[in-house]
Amino acid sequence: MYRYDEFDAAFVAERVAQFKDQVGRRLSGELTEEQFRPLRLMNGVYLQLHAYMLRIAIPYGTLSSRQVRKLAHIARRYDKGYGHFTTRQNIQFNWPALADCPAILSELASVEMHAIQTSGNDVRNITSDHFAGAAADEIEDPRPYCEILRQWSSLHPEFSFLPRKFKIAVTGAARDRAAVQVHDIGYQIVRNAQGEIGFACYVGGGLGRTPMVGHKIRDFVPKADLLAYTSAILSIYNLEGRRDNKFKARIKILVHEKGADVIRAEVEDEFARNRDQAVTLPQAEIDRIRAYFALPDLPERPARSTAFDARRAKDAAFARFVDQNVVAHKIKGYGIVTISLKPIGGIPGDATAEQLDAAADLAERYSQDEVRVAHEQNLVLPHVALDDLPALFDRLVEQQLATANVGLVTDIIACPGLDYCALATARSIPVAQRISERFGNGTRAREIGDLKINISGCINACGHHHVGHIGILGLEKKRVESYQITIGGSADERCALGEVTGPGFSSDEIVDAIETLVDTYLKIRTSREEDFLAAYRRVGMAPFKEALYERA
Amino acid sequence: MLQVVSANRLTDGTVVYLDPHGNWVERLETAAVFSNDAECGAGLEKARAAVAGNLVVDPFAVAIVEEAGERRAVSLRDAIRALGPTIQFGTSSAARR
Repeated sequence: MYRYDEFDAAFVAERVAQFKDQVGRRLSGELTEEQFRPLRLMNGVYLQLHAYMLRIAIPYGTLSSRQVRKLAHIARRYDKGYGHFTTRQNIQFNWPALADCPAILSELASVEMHAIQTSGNDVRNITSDHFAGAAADEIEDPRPYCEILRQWSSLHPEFSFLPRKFKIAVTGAARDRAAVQVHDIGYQIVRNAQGEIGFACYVGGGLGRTPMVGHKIRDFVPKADLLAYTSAILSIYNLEGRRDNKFKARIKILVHEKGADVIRAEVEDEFARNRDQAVTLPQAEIDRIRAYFALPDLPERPARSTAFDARRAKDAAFARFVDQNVVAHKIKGYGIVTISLKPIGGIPGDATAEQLDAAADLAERYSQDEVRVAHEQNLVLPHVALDDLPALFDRLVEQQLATANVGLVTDIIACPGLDYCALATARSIPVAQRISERFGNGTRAREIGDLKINISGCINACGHHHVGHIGILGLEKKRVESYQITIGGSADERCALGEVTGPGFSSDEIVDAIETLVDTYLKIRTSREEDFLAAYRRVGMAPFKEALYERA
Repeated sequence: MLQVVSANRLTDGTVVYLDPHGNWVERLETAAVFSNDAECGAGLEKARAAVAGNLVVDPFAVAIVEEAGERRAVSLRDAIRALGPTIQFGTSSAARR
């Protein structure tokens, strides 16, 4: 994985020293809150309902064991003993004191992490496929390009004060696990007719109050032009984005208002005009960064593991875990293991310090020292030998981290909602907990099969509800929580926004309503192979709506 | 309508309320209660002085009701601010607080 060079280390250390000084001046009264607020936000420090919140970037979702242990240490020493993984491959601590934030950032810098650009109208943490570098189906590991974009966009003098925040995702496979079409820019690694590898470019996707699916504005951006092309998009957006209206300031509104064809022409023109002056990526630099992400030296193993097969045959719990939480690795004899942070009735994405330490230990022992963070708010051990899976599973069971529900109805994405967030209009987490308890982890959940439920506690859509197969949006109606349901959303390569079913449901009604939708699906599906989304695409809204609103 | 004045403490962001003595306290039960907008306005004026004095940030008036000797915030948001998250988050026994 990427390691800071001297420049990176000095850059982050300087930033920590600068913020320490700024916090000191705020606490002494030299800076007013009005002066200080933008400075703290630039360093990831928000003020939420109960306390400050520190959002830390996990670039492209990749962590070493050492970094995970540091997060556990921060949780224990400076917070209440836990952290929350978000839908943007960040981790948030919910209770740090302002006075401690410089010390926390200093601790993070010691393991090559920071919170720079986790807020503000700049290029945010660049996200990627959590299986990157290990997935059997990828064309190339997208993370080197994320890292190149990250270095280029960090404190970029022209693009640090954009009309609004800007989110970029890069994926390396045809199967989109990084939701690239709902990002401001989504890059998908592709091969062109000549067999060269480059990027398809999507622009203007995003969720929030005005959800949009991105438009593909170019089929193929050569690797050498990645920064020049990104720069052209950002230049057009910087110039033309709606700075007059915060709610219309994202690039998706610009693309929507002007049309994708017009934006494409403008970007192409800007790209052609500045191509010679812009940063062309030298192959040597691409190679240098790619070397950091080289596949670990995984000893060759037989495709079949006797120990694995034997355990799978005799232990139903292990077999379920493998079926649900393990996928194919690009190297024979290995698997990619997802550690669900969605225990039945638990808080989606939360991990205690002990669980973080356990994940770090297991990664060190079984996964080449690597942990990934999925935007679905789970952890991933990307390089596990099948021979080691029985032992790993036993350790996960001991740590209560072996919930075998990845992709199932209980693998719910949920934002922090009104339990923490100053912007929220309703609670998300308790709804997720009740749905999880309703369906449990038995045969019923497995019978239902793949089903993504996403919950947001306000219109800003941090829980990505528009792209859940079932989406739940928490609103406040007449001072009471009300939950609006959408169905048919999807964040993958067949990206679609969900359709609103109709009037919202009270907190007391919402879990029954979700169960009604699931029962309706079970009745209408043609077979177990037809999942919820496929069934919805076949039959449309009508039977679901009828079941929901004629229930009473 | 009964109101109290709330804010977040500058140093750690903790939810605090203005009490009858002009101190900032963590419990809604010990906050100064204002029974009209004029009184509440005077409370907010004290809060603005506390902002200038770098004690608190983001002060605002919170509508409350008193029932059976108990106070609670009218809105769910303010009730959650007063009582903390409605969920039982996992924690570490070694955590500092």
